Amino acid sequence: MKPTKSALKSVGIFCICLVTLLFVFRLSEGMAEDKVVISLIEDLSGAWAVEGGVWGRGIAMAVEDVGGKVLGKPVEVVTRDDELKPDVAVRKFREVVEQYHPVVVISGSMSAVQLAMQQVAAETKTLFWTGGWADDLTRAGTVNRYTFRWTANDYAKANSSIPFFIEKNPKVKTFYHITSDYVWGRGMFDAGKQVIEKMGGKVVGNILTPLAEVDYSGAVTAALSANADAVVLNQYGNPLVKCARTVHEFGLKNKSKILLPGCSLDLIRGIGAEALEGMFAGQDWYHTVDNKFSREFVSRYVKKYKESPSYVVMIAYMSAKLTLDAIKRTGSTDPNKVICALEGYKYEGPTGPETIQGFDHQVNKKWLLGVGKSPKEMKDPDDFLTIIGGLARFETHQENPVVWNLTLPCDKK
Amino acid sequence: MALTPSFIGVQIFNGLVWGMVLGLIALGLSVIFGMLDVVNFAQGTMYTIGAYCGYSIILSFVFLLGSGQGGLCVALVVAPLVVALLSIIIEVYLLRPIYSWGHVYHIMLTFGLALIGTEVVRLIYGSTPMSFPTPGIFKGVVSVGSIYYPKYRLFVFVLTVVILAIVWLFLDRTKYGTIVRAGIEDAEMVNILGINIKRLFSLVFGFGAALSGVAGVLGGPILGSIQPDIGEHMGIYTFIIVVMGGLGSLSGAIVGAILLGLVKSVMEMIWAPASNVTMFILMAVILVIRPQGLMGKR
Repeated sequence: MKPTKSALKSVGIFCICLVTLLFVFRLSEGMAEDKVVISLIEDLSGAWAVEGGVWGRGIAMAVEDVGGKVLGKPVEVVTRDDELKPDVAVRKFREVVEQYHPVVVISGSMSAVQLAMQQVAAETKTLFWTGGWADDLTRAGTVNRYTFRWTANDYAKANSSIPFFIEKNPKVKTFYHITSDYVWGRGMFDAGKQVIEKMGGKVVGNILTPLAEVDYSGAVTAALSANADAVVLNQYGNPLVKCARTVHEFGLKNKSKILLPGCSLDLIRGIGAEALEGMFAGQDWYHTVDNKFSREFVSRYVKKYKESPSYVVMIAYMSAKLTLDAIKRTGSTDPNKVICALEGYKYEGPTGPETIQGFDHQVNKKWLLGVGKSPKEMKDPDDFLTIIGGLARFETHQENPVVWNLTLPCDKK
Repeated sequence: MALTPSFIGVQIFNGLVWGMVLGLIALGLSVIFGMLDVVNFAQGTMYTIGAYCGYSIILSFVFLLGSGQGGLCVALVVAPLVVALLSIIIEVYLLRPIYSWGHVYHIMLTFGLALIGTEVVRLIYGSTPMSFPTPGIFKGVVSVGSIYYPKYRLFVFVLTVVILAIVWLFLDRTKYGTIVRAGIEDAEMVNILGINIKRLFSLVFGFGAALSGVAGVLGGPILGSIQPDIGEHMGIYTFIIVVMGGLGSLSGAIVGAILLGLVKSVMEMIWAPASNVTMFILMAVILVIRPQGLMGKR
């Protein structure tokens, strides 16, 4: 049977469309190859949105450091909202990898989201800097060789801040915890409990609060009733702001010392100086740290954004900076070469000397502890904390026996 | 944890305070459904708008006068009026044309309005949660023996009881209240009797939304911070309450709210992670045993 004119016309149009699509696809791939893309996937609309907005600033400053270019190619930052949901984060991760082939994906929302994204990093062979705190992110059995972390994990937080806290409060013997019921909260409680008991203290209770909790009066009332010497708030994001304010509202500070294992400046602004006064808050870094690196960074940031940077900004900055520096050192965006350049790398960082541990990709650095100032003591609107010290206590390879299931050329050295 | 009498007492009172705030929103929803036969999915968003209005007013007082004290009084009047006005405009121009279309369309419209309202708030104020200050006069705790209780929550409990009493007196003892109750029973009959039913619907819709606005202002310092999607959480609790109490039943809204608050606070004593899911289980049990709700009519 002879093809009709209309059938031929249809086939012809189809072929033209197909060729056009292939051309456009190849063109867009070519365009992607002409740039170095950093992807940020962060919570921009959920319970942690209070920090979500500042991640981009840290990355922008790292890109400025290299003059906006690396290996002669412009650096582009692509941002996506993970809505604080693991399934959304995974989908967005895959999308950016397919569309943009980023050299690195940086993320910092809650640990459950980070754990999901970590798997996609290994699956897509994409470098991944996580801002999550759960120990599992760099622990034997779950960590993969594409994942790196600058922020301290729960083990380090607990082993660095609790001994310091007890040293500053020698009468504290009993602890009560208000814990957010998800991966990180439970992990932070477990890590804290181990350290407290190792130091001769006692955990007299732990109340688990749903992640979507809006009213913390019940949990705080339980803490009041426990009559513990100290209350630990294993909470983060907007829940931490609500919980800390409720602690202040109920006068719990008058009965017990309050410890916030981690609380960024962005969250501290939400809690307020009056509520924070006298509370102890752990910090990855604080803007009053007095070393050359920190002073220069803070000066640039304040000039640009008219406010002091939180440690969240620093996590984003260091994640991007270390990656871009590694790309420059290796002269390549090949993730295998970049990983080799990062492992074991020592440098002078915002908390002093820092090392990217080769066996688990956790950056070994100081974790700081601060205590809330009274509003009258504040010298400027962001002068919330007095930093009383810091320690760097991370797991050794013996304690965390990671064995990589990916062999790289640098392993033969 | 030791279940001492003081702990149990404080915990129950926490539940009552929380229940009373939710009761305001639920009462508004019940009034709207009872009178207009509209399931208002935007009731939670009215809470959000009331909260942000209140926040803006209190912060203006802090900025201009150095203290937010008078701001709360002004917010409790102005924020509900703003919410009421907005709601009346929505009722006249969006809801009125579709009253006869059926519940599905009412739900689609009010659900859409809820989403739009949340995003508009997000556009204006951003996604970052805002700390809602407690007025200076209510800062601190009242201590009785070993019991500490925040002054502000005591104030909220007393005020919500007063507001609910005023609403009850209005509905039960005034001519206009009688008209509203008659409208809830049979809107068509009220119309036949020569009462301007359109104006009545608008006013009732505004009134119901205004109750949510009041709850938004009062609830802000209790929650400590507000964010654009806070109305979604409150909306879910509200619907549980009205389903438990009986959709359209005014007394059911109050009973349901108190029940929800108490159940939540009791579960927090027994097993805190289950405190939220227990409310849904209770709702399901009530629906099975008494589908019309505790105080609803068949």
